[in-house]
Amino acid sequence: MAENVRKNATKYSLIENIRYLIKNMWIWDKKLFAFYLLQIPLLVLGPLLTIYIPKVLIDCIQNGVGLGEFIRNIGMPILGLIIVQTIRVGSEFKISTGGYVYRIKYFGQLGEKSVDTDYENIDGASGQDRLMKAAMSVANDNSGTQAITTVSIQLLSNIIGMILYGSIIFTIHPLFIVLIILTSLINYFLGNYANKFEHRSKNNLAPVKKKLEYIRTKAGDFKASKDLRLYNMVSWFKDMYQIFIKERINLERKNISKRYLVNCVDGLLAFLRDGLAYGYLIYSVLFKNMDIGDFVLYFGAIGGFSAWISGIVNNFIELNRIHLETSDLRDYLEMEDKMNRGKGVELPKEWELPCDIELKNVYYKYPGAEDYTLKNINLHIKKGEKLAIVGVNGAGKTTLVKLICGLYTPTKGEIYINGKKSSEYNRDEYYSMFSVVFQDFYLLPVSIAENIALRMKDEIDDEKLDMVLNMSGLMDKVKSLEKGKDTLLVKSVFNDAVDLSGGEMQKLVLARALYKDAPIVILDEPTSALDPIAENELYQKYNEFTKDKTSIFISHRLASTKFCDRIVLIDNGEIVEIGDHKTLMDQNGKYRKMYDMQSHYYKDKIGGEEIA
Amino acid sequence: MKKLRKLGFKEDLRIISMSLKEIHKLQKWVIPVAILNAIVKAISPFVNIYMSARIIDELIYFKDINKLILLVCITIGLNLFFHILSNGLEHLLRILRIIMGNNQEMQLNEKIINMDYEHIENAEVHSLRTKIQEAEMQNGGGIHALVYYLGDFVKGLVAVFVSLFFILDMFKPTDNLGILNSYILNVGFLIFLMIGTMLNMKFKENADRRYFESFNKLIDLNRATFYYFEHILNYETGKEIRLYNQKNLILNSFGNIVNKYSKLVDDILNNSMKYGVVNGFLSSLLSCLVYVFVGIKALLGAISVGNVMKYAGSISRFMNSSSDLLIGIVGLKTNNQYLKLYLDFLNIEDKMYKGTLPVEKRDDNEYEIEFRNVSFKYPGTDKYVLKNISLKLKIGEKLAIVGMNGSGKTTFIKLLCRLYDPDEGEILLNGINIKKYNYDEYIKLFSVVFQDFKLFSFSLGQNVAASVDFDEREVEDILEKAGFGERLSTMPLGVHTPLYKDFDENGVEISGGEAQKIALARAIYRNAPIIILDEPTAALDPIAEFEVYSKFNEIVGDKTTFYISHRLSSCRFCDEIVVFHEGRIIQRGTHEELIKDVNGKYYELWNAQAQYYKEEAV
Repeated sequence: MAENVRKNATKYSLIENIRYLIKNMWIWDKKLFAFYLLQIPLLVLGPLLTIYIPKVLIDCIQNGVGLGEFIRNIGMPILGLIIVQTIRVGSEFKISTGGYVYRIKYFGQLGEKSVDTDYENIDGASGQDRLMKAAMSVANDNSGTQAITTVSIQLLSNIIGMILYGSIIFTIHPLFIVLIILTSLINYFLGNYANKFEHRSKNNLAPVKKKLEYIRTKAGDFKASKDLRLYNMVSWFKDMYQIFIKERINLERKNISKRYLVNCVDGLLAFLRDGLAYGYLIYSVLFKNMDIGDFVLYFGAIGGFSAWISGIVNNFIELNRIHLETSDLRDYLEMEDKMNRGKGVELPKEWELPCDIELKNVYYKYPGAEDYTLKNINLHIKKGEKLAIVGVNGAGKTTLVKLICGLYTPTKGEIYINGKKSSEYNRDEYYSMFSVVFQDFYLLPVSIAENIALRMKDEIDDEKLDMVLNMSGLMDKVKSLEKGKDTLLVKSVFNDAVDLSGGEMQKLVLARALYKDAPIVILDEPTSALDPIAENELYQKYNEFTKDKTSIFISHRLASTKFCDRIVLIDNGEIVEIGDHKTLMDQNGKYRKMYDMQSHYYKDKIGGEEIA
Repeated sequence: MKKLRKLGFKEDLRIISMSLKEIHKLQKWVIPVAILNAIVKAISPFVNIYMSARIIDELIYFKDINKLILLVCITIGLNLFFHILSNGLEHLLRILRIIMGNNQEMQLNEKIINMDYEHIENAEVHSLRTKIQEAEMQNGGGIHALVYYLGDFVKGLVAVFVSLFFILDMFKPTDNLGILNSYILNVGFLIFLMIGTMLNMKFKENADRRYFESFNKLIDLNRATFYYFEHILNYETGKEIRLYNQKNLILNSFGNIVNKYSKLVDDILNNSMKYGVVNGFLSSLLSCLVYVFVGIKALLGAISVGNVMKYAGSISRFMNSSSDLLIGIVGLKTNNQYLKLYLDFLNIEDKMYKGTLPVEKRDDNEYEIEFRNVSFKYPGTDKYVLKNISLKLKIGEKLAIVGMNGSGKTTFIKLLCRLYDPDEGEILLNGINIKKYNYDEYIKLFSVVFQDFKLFSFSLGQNVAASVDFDEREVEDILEKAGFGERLSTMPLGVHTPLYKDFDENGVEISGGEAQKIALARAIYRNAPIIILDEPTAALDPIAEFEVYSKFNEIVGDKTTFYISHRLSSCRFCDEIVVFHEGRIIQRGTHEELIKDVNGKYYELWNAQAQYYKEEAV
């Protein structure tokens, strides 16, 4: 953690980050920027007039002026105060919404980056970590990107106020300035000490909070409710919760007692400061002919000066936090893409289809992993071939798919499509060659039609859409809905949306792949949620789906290999067997063993056979 | 989201008092400390107001050094005292609020776990729970806000009274000027101030109310924004986003929502600015008039210089605290709509009848279950999902349940475990309607592995035992039985290894198939007489699946077992098969019997799969 802090701190400096943030404020909304600048003098004038008016009041009284002169003297400052306050209070809301709008812009940038950058940049634990850290800087009203708007105004006004008040106090006795700066420095160092302590304990506190959050969300997870009840898990969760609450309170208490100590020292220093101020000023009134009016003014100035300085101190602490968050954000936004984003080789023309895929000596290792997940993969998938990939869980099948379709880059070796290296294609154009259905699927809070075509409503080809609805078997469900294919999905977002069952969702993502109509089709376990009849229908239609296309089918259901041309068996990251069904059965290896195991109970007669 | 009615005053008080009772249950010191904190905060500014007046008067009129020293000491001493006290209370309040918040979350969770199951599958209940969370996270509404606004209210109230107390002697008859004259003038001025302040308050109240109302509209937009936020931040969605070029769709849809949001915010902004300007003008105008008024009185000699500061300060405090008081009242009122959500949730009624008959414990596992003419439709729907189901289950029998998706298989299981009660007919255990039994004891009869089972990120052993403590040996044995033995030997901390990485960094990732084995082990560990398995091998590869099948008898022993599967091969090792179709049982018998009926559903389902495993003559 400290390591990360130092790394970020050297990549962008505090000044660089602040300049980055302020520059964007100026570029994105000049009017708002000017509005913010206007606040600064107001923030100084308000308090200044507030301590000045009593002085005028008292002077008039002490000097026994007439009513008219009194009104004349006090009229100007009062008018000034009314104007300042009116503008200031009137602007309050605009300032906070301005900060919010500003933060949302960064949020938008974060989103754009996330959907566009190389998949490998966000995949896995390290990518997620980077993303999460960046998200902290745009997540809520306290985030750095919003706080900067108010903190920067405050800092400038605090500095001006400090100078102004300082000059007032200087006329009493310059020692006061020294005294106050000294006490403020003590406050700063103490505050810093408490901050550092809190920061260090974050390492202990964050995991505890994470655990509490986990227990909180899981225990209240509606989807887990069946298991929670039927296994009497309430006490398990409650007990775990209590354990971690105690831990959290312990840690928080330590933090808080440090803070409290700082507060008390704060109070003591104020005690001393005020005592000295009173003492000196009273002495000046009694023995040096200071006016009462000035007494009141100077006393107010001394208090105000301390306020400006502690304000500056707090602002710097805030700025530091903003700086760290901004570094995380920029780290993410400025991530480079390693894949080819520029002009690439031409995509295969229509008469060059279907595609020919070849993997030569491909190795892949996940970032930070010790071992290769895939080793020595040599595979030539011919034009229009239907290939099946089988293997036990964790063998590397899905990783292979991610490599072929261009989400991952091989650690060693090359992948060729129609003879050209995958790295030579433009990344997004390369993606357009693949229709993939993964095991996990995600819906957007838009209509069924939009979820399938994944385009804006006016870009959707209705004829094509109807065709894929029929092919995937989802048409029946769509017809049963009032709004048909315009029905919204994701009930948790829209009250009038519908939720689809597991089987229906699987048909929808199949429809997606069909709609895209790409030359290479890859299906990863597309029948896990389907019943036997629906599963069989899919197998029957498979030829239809993959007519004139090169296709890869991954499944546990070895039945599926029957309609594929060749089968590849992956074990422990390597291709161990390859060939058509008959060849592999004759080989009497792992494939045969798996096939026999699965078909065992489907045989007409069971019993008597020895399964190795 | 439907417009929340303006709640009447009586209703407002009721909600607040009920909520305070709940808070007291959650953490009994929060309210007292919050109130004490508010009182201290209300009083402390008056130290300076009062004491500085005394010091100034002493300086001008009496100039007694000793007295001055005493006054100064009292002033700075009191300030220090209040500072330490106030900060201490503030920190204490913070800890208490953390405890209160955590306890509230668990309270809501317990409600979810214990409520009638039909509420769990009710979208409205989900929605209510989500709204409570949104209210807290996005609008700062709920019990935390209640504590906060209560503090504002008390602080405002106390400060108003204290400031009035200090102002009061401004109205004591003075001997310098004509008594009547100054009295009427004073009271008149005070009334003028109060009217001015109330006008100001009225404006502010309107502004705040408009603000809160608009915020409600934002909630719906917030929900969509949040969904996109999570969607985009989840790297798993990134695969399809890139491969299907969803970028434009996502950015456009998201952009639309942001635009609607901004427009709404602009509307709010315009209103608020108007009111802000009026508010700023009125409050500063009034403050300044106070200075003028008090100044004139002092010029005329009616009050001392020190008292000028005292009255000016007190009146200024009076106006600030009336504002605080108002914020407290408006806050409390608008917060009530969020508190109502919370109270409504806690008050969700449980209608399921739960009897008290103890379940007789039998060592021979001879439990007989019977469904008699059971029909069922989900609450709030018209379509019957189960129609006139009658089934008597032989003890110790292994029954396979097959059928197409949506035929009623999982619903049947849910009624069996009494997550729901039938609409018609009855379910009997050993001849007695299951409603009459003690619910918790009835549940103990079942070990269920649902299709969408969940494992948790605690240790492997805890997951198998579903409790904090467990018998290590037994857990290891059972994991071995479920086919997890080999994987277990690779785990560094054995059965104490945490699962998944979202809770503990030392956690290990497990595949879908491995998870299924652990869920199976969990069901076995529970050692209930009736086992229900819903698609237990869906994620397993052929080898693992075969392992489970072959050890099946070993695993379940002589327990009554229900086995739902799409993998019809599993029917071969069950004693009997029941075929569901459109909510009815249409076929029942052994595999051999059913396969003979070539026109039956079973034959159709069986063949759909088996055809691919028929070998041509080798």
